[in-house]
Amino acid sequence: MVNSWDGALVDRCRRGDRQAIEKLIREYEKPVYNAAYRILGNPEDAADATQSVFLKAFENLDRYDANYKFFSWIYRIAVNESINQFKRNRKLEPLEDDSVADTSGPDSTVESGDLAHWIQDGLMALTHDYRTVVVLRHFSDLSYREIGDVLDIPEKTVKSRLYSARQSMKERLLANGIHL
Amino acid sequence: MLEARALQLINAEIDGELKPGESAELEAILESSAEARAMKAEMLKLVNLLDSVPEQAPPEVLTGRILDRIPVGKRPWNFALANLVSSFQPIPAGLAFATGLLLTVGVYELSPEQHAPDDLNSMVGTMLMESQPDSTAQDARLAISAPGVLGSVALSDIGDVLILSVDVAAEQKTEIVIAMANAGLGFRGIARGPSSEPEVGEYFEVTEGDLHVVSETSRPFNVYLRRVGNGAIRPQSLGIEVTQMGERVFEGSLELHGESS
Repeated sequence: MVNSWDGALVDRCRRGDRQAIEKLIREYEKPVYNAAYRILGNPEDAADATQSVFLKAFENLDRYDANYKFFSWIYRIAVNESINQFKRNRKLEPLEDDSVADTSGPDSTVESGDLAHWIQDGLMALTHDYRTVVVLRHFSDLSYREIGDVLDIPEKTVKSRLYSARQSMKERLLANGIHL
Repeated sequence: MLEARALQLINAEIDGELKPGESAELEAILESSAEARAMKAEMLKLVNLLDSVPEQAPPEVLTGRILDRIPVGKRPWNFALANLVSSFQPIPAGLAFATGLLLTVGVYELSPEQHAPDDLNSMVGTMLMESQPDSTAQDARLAISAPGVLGSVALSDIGDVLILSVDVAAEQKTEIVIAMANAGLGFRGIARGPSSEPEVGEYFEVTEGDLHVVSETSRPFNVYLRRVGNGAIRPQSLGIEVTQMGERVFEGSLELHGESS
């Protein structure tokens, strides 16, 4: 998670300062990309979504309220863009399975490199509401409260989604032969 | 079956979000319930697994790609989509519908009036280039030469998007078929040069994974493509076919080089 934020940087971006814009992108590009990657499940869509997030953020920078954390604001855009793109992919490519392909089966030996594969498979099997809280908690390292701020939902809802999502992931992993 | 309260406390402890006083409550539950202890152990392993997944590095070109979309010297939010899109003139949907052939995907990707003004997502893939790609950046080129048809097709791989630049002069109505699906590619838009206006007799369609572009003129155009799927299988070539009067006059393929990270 990006902890530091210089409000002056936003002001410079608002004035069209090229260096400030580049700095802002470089500071938030990786966390935004990673959140998008985990929600969308593939690098190409994550890159597209990340690009859209920043273009939309810059276009709407005058609407950003400096009383709130910038990362909450940009994460919110990132989550919305990623979910929108995920839905659009489903609509445009109905015959294509966005989830990670099941190539080994439940009885196969799980190598360490495959764990990331099965984790992503478990994520993609979740509804996007559940997937988003897991991504923000474990891949963006946000607290319950921060997740609530990003998604604009009560902390209680964050907890309940996160716990249910973990339970679903656990069952999915077990079904795929990953023993916890 | 564990009670919801026990699950809540176990998860909160794992996340470091236990509130004052809850530690003692959880301790009591764990002491009296083997099921709770097993659940906590499983959840801990799951969380450790999740936290052990390495971060992904964004494509190296991504920062540049984003910066390239922001005009130099302008306030960033003033670069209206219309400004970016105006340099491209999509083939009118009406013409395509008149043929009864058009799949709406292509038009949806291209026509700005079909989107909310701030829907930048919809424009990804269509606003990447404002002119023909630099010939030095082209990854593959295919010369097309047949009776009544002369020109070339070039492919530029600029990361997540591939740009197919078609420049073919023909003496009569010509159809160019691009076998996208066989190459593991998807359609992301089509665009004419900056000063061109759509003309009667031009249309395109996407059927069964192939893009068909029909034209009675000889104006160059760019087709925007993107890789689809999870990238496990990488295609080697993109098939190109040219037909006139229903007869194939040329067939060839472009070799796809370089993989997106």
